[in-house]
Formats: sequence, C-alpha cells, structure tokens
Amino acid sequence: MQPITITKSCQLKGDVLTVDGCEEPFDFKELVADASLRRRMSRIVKMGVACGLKCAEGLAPETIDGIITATGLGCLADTEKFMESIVVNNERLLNPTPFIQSTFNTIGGQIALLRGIHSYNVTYVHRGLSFESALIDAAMQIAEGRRNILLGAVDEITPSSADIQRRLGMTREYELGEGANFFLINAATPGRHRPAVLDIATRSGRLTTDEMIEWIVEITKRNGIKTSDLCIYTNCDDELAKTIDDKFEPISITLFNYKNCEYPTLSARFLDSAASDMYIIRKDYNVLIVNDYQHINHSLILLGKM
Amino acid sequence: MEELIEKLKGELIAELNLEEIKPADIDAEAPLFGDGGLGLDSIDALEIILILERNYGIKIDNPAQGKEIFYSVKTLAEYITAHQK
Amino acid sequence: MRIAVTGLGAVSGIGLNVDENIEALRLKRHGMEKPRFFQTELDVPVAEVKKSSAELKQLLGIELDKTMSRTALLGMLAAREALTDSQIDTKAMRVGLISSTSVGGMDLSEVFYNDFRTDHNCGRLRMVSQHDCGSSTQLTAKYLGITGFTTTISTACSSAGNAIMLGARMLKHNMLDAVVVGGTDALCKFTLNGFNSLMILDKEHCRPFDATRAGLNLGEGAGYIVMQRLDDAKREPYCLLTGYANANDAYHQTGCSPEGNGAYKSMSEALAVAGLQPSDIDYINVHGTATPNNDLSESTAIRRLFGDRVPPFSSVKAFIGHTLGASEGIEAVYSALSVKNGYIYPNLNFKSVDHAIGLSPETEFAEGRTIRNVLSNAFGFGGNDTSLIFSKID
Repeated sequence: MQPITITKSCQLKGDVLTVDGCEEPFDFKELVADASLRRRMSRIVKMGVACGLKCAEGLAPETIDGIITATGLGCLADTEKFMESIVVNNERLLNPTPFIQSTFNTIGGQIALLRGIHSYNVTYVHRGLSFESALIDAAMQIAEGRRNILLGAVDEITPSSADIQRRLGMTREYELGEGANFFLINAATPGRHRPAVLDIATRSGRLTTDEMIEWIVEITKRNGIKTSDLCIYTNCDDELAKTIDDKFEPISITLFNYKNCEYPTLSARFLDSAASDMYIIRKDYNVLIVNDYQHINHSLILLGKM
Repeated sequence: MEELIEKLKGELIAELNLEEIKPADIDAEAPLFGDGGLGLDSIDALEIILILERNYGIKIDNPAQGKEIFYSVKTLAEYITAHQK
Repeated sequence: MRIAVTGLGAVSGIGLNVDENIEALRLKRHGMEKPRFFQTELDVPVAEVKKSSAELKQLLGIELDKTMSRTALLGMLAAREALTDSQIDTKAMRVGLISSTSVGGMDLSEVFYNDFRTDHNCGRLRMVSQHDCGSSTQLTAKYLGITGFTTTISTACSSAGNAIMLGARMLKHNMLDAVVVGGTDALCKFTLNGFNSLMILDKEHCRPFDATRAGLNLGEGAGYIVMQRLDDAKREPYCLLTGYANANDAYHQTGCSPEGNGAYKSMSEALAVAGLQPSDIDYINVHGTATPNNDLSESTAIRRLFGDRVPPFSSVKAFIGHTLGASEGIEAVYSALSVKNGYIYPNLNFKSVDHAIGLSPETEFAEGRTIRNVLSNAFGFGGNDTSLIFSKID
C-alpha cells in the first residue's frame, strides 16, 4: 500500500480529550452549536461527534474529502431504547429519535451535517476489524488522490451489553471499555515530523503463536524492516508477548493494559498511542501494532516516518 | 387555557429533551419551528404528534397537517381544546 | 483497468433466485403481502421472502437445529448463487467478501430481548451472539469457503452500493482478484417500527413517483454480484462496473434536501469516474422509495443533471419493497441484467404524474432495448447517497 500520514490524532476517553497525546479542554456545546442535534445525541454519538469535530477543527468543509468511521457494535443505548419501547408500547406510538440515532452511520452522518461536508462517508461494522477496514479504505482514498480524510472509531459500553458480553465469556481475560478516536489522514510526504502508516494486514479466526510470528516476519520483510528495529505495541497475551520479545528482540514492547479495557475498535486507541508517542519523541523508528482482539480478530499495523 | 399551555410547555421540554430550556423561557405565541422561537424540526413534529395522541387522545395521520396546529404552544393548546373528546 | 461483473445472485419477496426475480418483474408479479413468517402488530404490507427460516436452512443444507439469523440465511443463499454463477475457484485466487446489512441479526436479538429485558440472566445467548453486523458476513464467508479479505459496511439504505464500490476499488488497487459484494437484510420489528414511527410507511401498496404516493413498504432479501478485473474473467461477463460514487447530502438526519444536492453529487461523480456524459445513460434504476420526500428530491436531482432529456427510469420498490441494506445488492443484479439483456423494469402502481415532479417512470417490462449504461441509485439515512454505473462491454 501507499503510505499515509497521520497529521492529527484525537482521542476521547471518559471526559478527557487528547490531541496528539496532549490533553485539551473542550466544550461540547461550543463544538456542537446546533441545540436540536445536540439534545438528541446519546453518549456514543456525543463521544464520536466531539472527537471527530475536534479532529476536523480548522479545516474548511470542502477540503475534507472523506469521513470514514468504524464501530463494532454501534449505538447500543439507542438500539436498546427503541427495542424496549417496541415491547412496552406494543408497537404503537413510538418515539422515532432512538431509531434514527441507532443507525450505524449516525456519527459520520452527524459530522457531515454539522460541518456541511458533502464528500465520501462510509461506516465499517466488522467486529474487531472494523477500524482496520476503515484504515484500509482511508489509505486507498489517499492513493486515489483525496486530500484530507477523517478516520474515526467509536464504541460504547452499556449495562446490557456488558452483561451479555460477560455471559458470553468475553470478559474472562478482559474488562470492557469504550472510547472514541479520530485521525486526520493525508498523503505521506517526506520530511514531515508525522508518523506514517506503512502497511496493514488483517486476519480472522484463531492463530497459533507460530502463525502469528510467521505473519509478523512476513509484514516486516515485505517492508524491508528488521524486527529488532521495532517498537511493538500489543494487546496480545503474556505468552505471545514473551515469544515476540524472545524471538525478535525488539527495541521495546508496550503491553496495553488489556485487563482494563477491551472493545471492538480498541486498535484505534493503540494507533493513537503509538502515533502520539512517535510525534512527541521525534526520533526515527518503526512501530508495529499487534492487535489480537479476543484471539479471533487480528491485525498488524506498521508505522514509520517518511 | 393557561393551565393547558403550562402543561404543554412541560411536556415539550420533557419529551423533546430540551435540556437547557425552562417553561418560562417559552413564549406561548412564538413559533415552535424554524428560526426565532424554539427552532424545532421535522423530527420534533413527529414527537409532538405522539404527545397529542398519547396524552390527549388526538390523532394526526399526516405530519404535513401539523404545520398550522404546531405553529406555537398557543395554537397547539387551542387545537387540543377544540378536539379533545 | 476494467471491472467486470461475472456472477449474480438475488433473493427477494418475488423470488428465491435471479431467474425467479426476473420472471416476476416480467409478469408484473409483486411480492407485497401481509406478513406471513414474522410477527408484528402493525397492519402494513411487506415483501417477505416466501420461505420460513427452516425452509431456507433446508435449501442451504444447514442443520435445522443450528441457530442462524435470517439475515445470514438470506445472505448465504444469494451469495452462493452469485459465486456459483461466476465459476470462480475460491482456492485459486484472492477472493474477498464485502457485505452490508442495516440490522444484522436483529430478528434473533428481538427474541432474546423479550426474555432478557426483565432479567439480564435470561435469554438464550445463541440468540444474541449474531446481533452484530459482522456476524452474517463471517457466517457467509465460512459457508462459501472465502478466506480472503472480508468486511461489513453499514450506511443504512445505501449500504450495499458502498460495498460494491469498495469491492471495485480493491480490485483496482490489486488487493483482491475477485470479490463477492452486496448486502442482506431480514425483516424485523425494529426496522418496521422504526419506519412506522417516522410516519413514512404506506399502509397500502406503495406507489413510487405517483402523485398519490404516501410512503414506502419494507421488504427483505439479499443480493450479491461477483466482480473481477476484466482480463481475469473466466466466463463471459454480464457487464462492467464503470462508475461509482458516494456523497453526502448533509441536510437532515433522515430527510433529503429539496435540491437533491447529495444525489446530484453522487450521480455526477459516478459519471465522472466512468468518463461518461449524462446522454450516455440509457436507463436509471432510481432509488424511488415512494416517500413524498425521496421521490421529489431524487427527481429534482435527476432533472438538474439530465435537463429535459431524462432517460427512461423506474423504481422496483413496489415489487420487492425497500430492502434497506440489501436494496442496492438486489438492484445491482437487476441493473447488470438490464445492460446485458436490454431490460427495463416496470414501475408498478404509477397512475398519475405528480406535477411537482413532472416525470413519468416506465410502467411496462421491456427487453432487447439498446442499453449502453445503467445508472443505479441508493440513498440512506445520514444523507448517504451512492450511485453506480453498469456498462456494456464494447
């Protein structure tokens, strides 16, 4: 793939908004001036829209050539609210707002609406690889000559979804989390002190440790990078992390505290973390993000500087 | 009528989630929709239809019919008074 | 680089495969009825697929006791037909699946929720584990033996158009050698009640573009096409996919702008991608949901683009209903056959011209027309507008 630059990286986690890793105060009412849009927004929509608008700040709407969003489970609170009203009211006299807001592309659509952005606007909803799909699309858009692409990922946790995921055994190793991330993506140009995504690979289904190792070798080889020159960011389990460490002897290995946080588009947070570090440290090195979501959805994202 | 107007204001604030508005802020004769006034939109119109049906037993089948009825809190109250069984 | 359409598969309220669908369109036999398999309190016609989920499992050779969302079953049936039709060997090349859906396994989640809502320890988990949109895609990929790139798109009613667009771009970027693209959606209370709460469901049979139109009817189904680079096609392709674009109306959460800005933009950009002029389009498969707002806005955009030379156009929504995430998948199949066989599909229930629109759709089935290029529209919530162009291979 043609490399892309991460020009800006925004994250909203709880009430804390960061831009390129640094906390920035924000006023939601200022970001979303339209009161009638604001009052209909559920938490996930607020998170996503605030983060996305912050990322788009300062850009004229006609210069934004695409809004590409990802969510594993979408607007769960609104979905449940509407399901509940169907049962309680026996399919009569239902308020349409939660139905409208439950649509998976609500966040992308609302950002377009609020800023008057008429360009490409697509939402990926593919479990633990939703964000990776969006990232691949963003890279293709840039290769096709688009200028600014807003790339985002949002997931929320609700009491019901937490209970269901717990019962499904998805919390045996993890605690559940949520968050919003948005990136401003541009064509990679040499000499800019911004991290670039050099390559992405995805796989589904269980992989053995050997298969993971082989896969990492493959992606670094095809990009001409030595595994010992890598900083690795991963949420894989301790066993795989140890094997990676022993086998590749990377510069560093950052283990995400997966026990505190897990959601389908979590890899967007890894990308924010790695990209912000690269931007702040201002040295030339490569990063490999190894995502092992629920041991079923895997991705490798290779970063470097141009 | 005054009583109904106050009741309606409360219902609009609750149902439409008008978080920053108090009943006293709503001018009963100001337009509910568009610029000036509350700035409600077509989705709010659907919710007002629900308020009428649920709370007053008045049915409006066509949202377009609501335009004049929903002009202001006062017109809404007048319509309810005239049509409530 | 030219992208060829080499396989077609469709299931809808008017047929379980492509041939049955076309036959029904030819005979003007619509699929609108009172719901037979799915339970609702609402008294509205819907275009249900005329098989129970158990019967669909039998057709697919899936064990009856296996829990499977109807969305997944419909998707498997149509995707299997498309893949078989293309004669592709999934082992011999990089084959991907890009699917779309608006509600995923909601038909099962609703059953689960009835038990779960009062006690979070209740409800059978197998009924909720297919809730997410990616589930039906993964199940379909596994069923078809597709191991290449797989993803799911959900942008409401334009979803499948965006899946097709992504597939074409991935072929152009040489990330895949063949791709199964389209969408699937089963009827459920969630969407039926959703559209009802928006007061845009017609209690009668819908009437796209007619002066008396009063809303849409929902339907269910799935539609997929297989695309390859033209040079790699093993069988004679149906047509090419030459144009595609997605644009945003940025006007309202659910409604369309009076000027049809998003639609105008997606149609003109699709023409630009294809390198075509408006005069090159011989037929438009319009989105045409039959809501007063959509049909007026879409025709305004069409008039802006085509001036007083609007090509023949029609909406198939009165046959199959609005199938949401599946709609452009099914309509892409119809559009491909329109190019190949010169078909024009009848717009049922059109009787009187709406003077605000001033346009009349085609009302009779035609074949053997010279159709060089078909423009196909799909518009969704969030102002999401997609246009595709299917073209004859010269």
